[in-house]
Amino acid sequence: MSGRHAHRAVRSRPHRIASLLAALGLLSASVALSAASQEASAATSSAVTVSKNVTRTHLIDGADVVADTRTVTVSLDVTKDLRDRQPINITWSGARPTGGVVGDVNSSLAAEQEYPVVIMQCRGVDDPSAPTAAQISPQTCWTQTPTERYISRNDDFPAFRLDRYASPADRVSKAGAPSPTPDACAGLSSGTDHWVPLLAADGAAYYGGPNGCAGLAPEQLQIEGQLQPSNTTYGTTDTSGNGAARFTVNTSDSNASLGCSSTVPCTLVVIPVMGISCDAAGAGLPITDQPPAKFRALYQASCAATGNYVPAEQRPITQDTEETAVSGRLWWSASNWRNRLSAPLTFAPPSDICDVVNTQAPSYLYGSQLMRQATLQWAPKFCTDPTLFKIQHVQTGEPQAKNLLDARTIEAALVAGPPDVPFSRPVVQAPVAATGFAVVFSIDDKQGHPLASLRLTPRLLAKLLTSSYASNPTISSQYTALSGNPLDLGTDPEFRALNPTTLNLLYGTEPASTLFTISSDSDVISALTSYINADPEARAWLDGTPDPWGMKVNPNYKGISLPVQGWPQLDSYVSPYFTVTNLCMNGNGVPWLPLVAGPVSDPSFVTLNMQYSIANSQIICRNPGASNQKLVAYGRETPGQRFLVGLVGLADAARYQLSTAELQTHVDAAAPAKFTDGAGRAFVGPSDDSLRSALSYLKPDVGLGTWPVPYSVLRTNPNASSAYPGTMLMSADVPTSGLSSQDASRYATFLDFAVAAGQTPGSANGQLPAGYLPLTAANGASAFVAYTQSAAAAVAAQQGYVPAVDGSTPTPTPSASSSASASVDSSTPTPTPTPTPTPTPTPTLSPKGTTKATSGGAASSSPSVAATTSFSPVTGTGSGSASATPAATEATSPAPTDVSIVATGLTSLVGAGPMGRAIPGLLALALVAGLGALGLVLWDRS
Amino acid sequence: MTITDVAVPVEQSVATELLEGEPLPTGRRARRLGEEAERITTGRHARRPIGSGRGTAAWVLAMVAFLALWFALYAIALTPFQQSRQQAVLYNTMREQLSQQTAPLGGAVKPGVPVAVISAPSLGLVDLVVVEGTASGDLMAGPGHRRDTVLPGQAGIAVIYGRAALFGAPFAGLAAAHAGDRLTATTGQGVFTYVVEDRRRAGDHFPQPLAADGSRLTLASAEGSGRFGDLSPTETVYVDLRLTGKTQPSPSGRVVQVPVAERAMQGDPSALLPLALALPLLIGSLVFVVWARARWGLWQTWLVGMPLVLAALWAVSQAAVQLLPNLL
Repeated sequence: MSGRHAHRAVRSRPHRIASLLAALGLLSASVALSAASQEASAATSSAVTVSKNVTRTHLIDGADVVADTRTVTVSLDVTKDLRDRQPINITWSGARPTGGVVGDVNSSLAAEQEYPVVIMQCRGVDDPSAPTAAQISPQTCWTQTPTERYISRNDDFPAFRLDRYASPADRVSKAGAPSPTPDACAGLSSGTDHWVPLLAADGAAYYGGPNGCAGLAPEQLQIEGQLQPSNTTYGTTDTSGNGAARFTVNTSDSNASLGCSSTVPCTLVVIPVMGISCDAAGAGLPITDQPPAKFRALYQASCAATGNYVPAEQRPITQDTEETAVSGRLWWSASNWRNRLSAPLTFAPPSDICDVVNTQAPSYLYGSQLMRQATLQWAPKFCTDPTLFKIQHVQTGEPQAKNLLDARTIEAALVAGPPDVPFSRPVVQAPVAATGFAVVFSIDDKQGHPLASLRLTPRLLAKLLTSSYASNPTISSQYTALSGNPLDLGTDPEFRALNPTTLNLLYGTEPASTLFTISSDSDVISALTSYINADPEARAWLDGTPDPWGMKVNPNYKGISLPVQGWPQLDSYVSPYFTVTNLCMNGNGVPWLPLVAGPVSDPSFVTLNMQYSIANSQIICRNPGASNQKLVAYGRETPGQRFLVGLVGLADAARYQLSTAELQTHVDAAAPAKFTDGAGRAFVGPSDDSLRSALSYLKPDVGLGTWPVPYSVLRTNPNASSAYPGTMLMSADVPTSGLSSQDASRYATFLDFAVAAGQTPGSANGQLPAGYLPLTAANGASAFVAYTQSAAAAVAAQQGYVPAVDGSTPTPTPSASSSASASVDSSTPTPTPTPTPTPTPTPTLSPKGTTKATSGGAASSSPSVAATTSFSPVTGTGSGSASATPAATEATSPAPTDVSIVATGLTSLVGAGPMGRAIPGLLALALVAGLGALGLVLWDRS
Repeated sequence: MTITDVAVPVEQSVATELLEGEPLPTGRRARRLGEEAERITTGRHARRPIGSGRGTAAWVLAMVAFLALWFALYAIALTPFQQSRQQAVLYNTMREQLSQQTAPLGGAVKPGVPVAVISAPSLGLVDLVVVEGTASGDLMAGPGHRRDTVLPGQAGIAVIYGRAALFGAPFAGLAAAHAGDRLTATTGQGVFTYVVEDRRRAGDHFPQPLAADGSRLTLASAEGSGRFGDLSPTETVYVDLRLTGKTQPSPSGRVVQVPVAERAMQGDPSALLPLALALPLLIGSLVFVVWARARWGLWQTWLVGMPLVLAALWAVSQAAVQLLPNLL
């Protein structure tokens, strides 16, 4: 007893020291963590609010007459570390209400509103102390069409010529005109002009002018197309002075003429248009620039006009009756320009920084577009760190990446699920991120405001995918199989029951009858169809049972076996009516519903289209009757009349701020089949909580080697009703044998980074962007992290060992069977084949070849995993494989081991056998036989 | 029958010859007649008729000896002519193809097509055309490129077999290879220079593994030891060479596995077919000779029969030599 106490007393001193150290360690760790979190939170709160007093002050008879004065306050939600096409939400208050409202605030027509709030992106800084070339000016602000920077009037002295704040050079008759006048513009402009050239980042000046005759920048358009709209926004202020808009910034990636980037500063400029501050006298100007004295009062009155529209009045479609003096087209005038509010913008390093900074051959990761946003932030961290290496994510469909990995063409794949056929080589599937798919929507209600939330069931998704909506009245009347079905999602009673908001019924019905998604094979489609298949109502409907409102599945999809990797377009109905009326289809009828579906192969394109509400149904005939007629996409839907539903990844939806729908998870047994609202049904949208809840239901499957998503459990378990069913666990698949030691250690480093430092949320290099749930213990992901770390060790060791996902196999000792493909020769002394076996052929010249060229040639000091490439020399008869396949190597790995001497096998014995001695044998035979014959003859003669 | 009965017609013929008013025979004719008479009259030296056992056996042995000697002679002395002629034709073909850039670049190439020209003065190789295929028949034309390996100059290991005893013995000089000797290989993809790394036999270690974009050329042949070692090389010998320079890409489509006949030291059993077709030719020509001798004079038979028999013998030998190991 005393011994034990004594033992404890002896131990207590070091024990105390240890606990003290532990406490200190904890303290410092917590301080560091809080500092880091503060830094992270400081980084995210880059919102800016600016306020300014804006006025319209006329100069009448030498005295200031204040016509209007307001205090405008503008708020932006993010201004730092911006990436291309990132939205900034802007709100303002205190501005003058807009008249002649145009629905599409990004169109050039919106410039003709009265008193808009013009929001544009300008190159430069808004700092008078900066050099002039670095400051913003109307010439460095981006507008897409020439009419937004050029105006012409038949008056001698329109309002913009009487601007009291304009410089004398700006008050001439043809202010800013290019000199000499370009030939294309000859005779096009008469009267009073004002030109504002666009100064591109490379110094070129594009004058634009009437019909763009004096030259347009490459990104400008003469006529707005159906594609990506300009980001110049003519925001609308309501009668209480408030307004909101979403502004999409463009970096030099998508707008090289504007040229904003991490090295070229830009500013967001908000101009609350108050109208021209007029000066009809023009004292001090040359005589030609002064209005004649007798008309001075008339010009003053017309310049000081306050507008033709009642505040918030809609602009009629055809008329062009806004008051020029207060029009948004004069945003560049000095009166309006001096009223601007501005906020500096900073941009994240461009996506191609790695190509510029680091010219090494990269380690390639082929795979899922869902990981694109993460690798965009992770890759710059790797390539700008001289102790690390370059990684590059090559976007590939996940099933294709798995096939390439199995065929040894690539070395690492980013995928979202196990392969259909298990890998034929030891490959570890290490979780690196938790994300998922989202159904995003762009739907406007009757007032023209976008819906904020949407609820969808798997059966609705099945209806959209299977082309079961008729899409337009002609098809509905002619295609008998779909005659009893609603035209589109918006008129489906099931949809109306769940989403009762009244919609603006002017939307196009064709794009509203399909889910815009990808045509190629993808794990995302597998996940979506697994989710649909796990719902009994959707499954029954797909098998032919009509839904409670009588809608039936398209017979071409009836009984379709799910899940599938690529969604097939099976409908083959050719409409005789459209074949005649749509000239592009005249004479060569193609099935109509697949055109309506219009899937694309690149998931990034889906994201782009959903961001700008561009419908991809290929049903519009361009240049009908001409020789170059073709079917083109439906195009951009008019804001206020949109109805689009698409499938994107969660990271894309978060980056571009797309609205995500809530998906049905659990249905109470008591919920009615023919429902009128969502009672008894749970709907969950993607969020950190719902992803965390879904992750908790993932169970390891030793046979598959990963954690498959249990769709049936998520559907049937009532406790899983808050789990987001679109959750997907992204894995990095890396083989654990057959890689060179350098590649193996690089991928191991990547795996270790991905589950540790790479899971810190944020927008800086090396952090995890929004749309991914960080894999941390707090989110219940410690099992994934531990597995990936052991996977990293297995990849580095390259012993062919794949840890079991449930942790059930022990780690082998390093002296276990080497991974090199040495096969013992079972040769016999009689001729054995292949004394010099051939090396392992790679089916194609993979990029691996070039990597090795740079790394293997020089005697590089690669970390010594050379232990794996040495093997015991095979005894005796050598190492050629008796089967003589080309894969029988000379007992060497294909890796360059330029430093260590490798023990190689022995040449086998190949003898010629008795036939080898044929010639001497024949000579001997001849000798013997000749002697014998001679002897016989002599004997005979004697 | 009595001797007198037999002798009468002969006496009569001799008597007839002498009694027809001719002058007395002189010289060779007199000697011949005299010998004939003597032979007839002295029964002890009467000619033994054909058909006895020992005569047949002697003939058979003589025939066997002749055939064996012929085959050995063919193999040693005549096959080099055949190979040099083949090489001349192939060299012209290769020149034309190289100038028009239609030379094969790899992948699936028909056996017998020339694919490269190798030259290594220190190894005794001067502008040898390498054909595709390593069966005994292919190697009659010169060194052969093993079909399941890459071509010289492409990344990987290229293997070329060559004969060491027959058909000009192009690779007979491999045994004298030293590290550092150079070999130049010209293919449709360019001119490549290889340097000898080592020479190895059974029981020697393989060379160090290749770098990923390295290229190795292995020349395989045979060597023999002992008094008749030159004629009967029975052990394989290999010379490994390393490419100095950059490799060229190699197209796919290469044969994955070559048949047994194309591996080292294998005869080509499929040569039994041409052998079976050539043998009746030989027998037929021999029969013709016998038939002609009975009707024509000796010189006439010789003039017509000799080329026929020689050609048939050559055909048979050419087929038979393919049954021997291909590296011989």
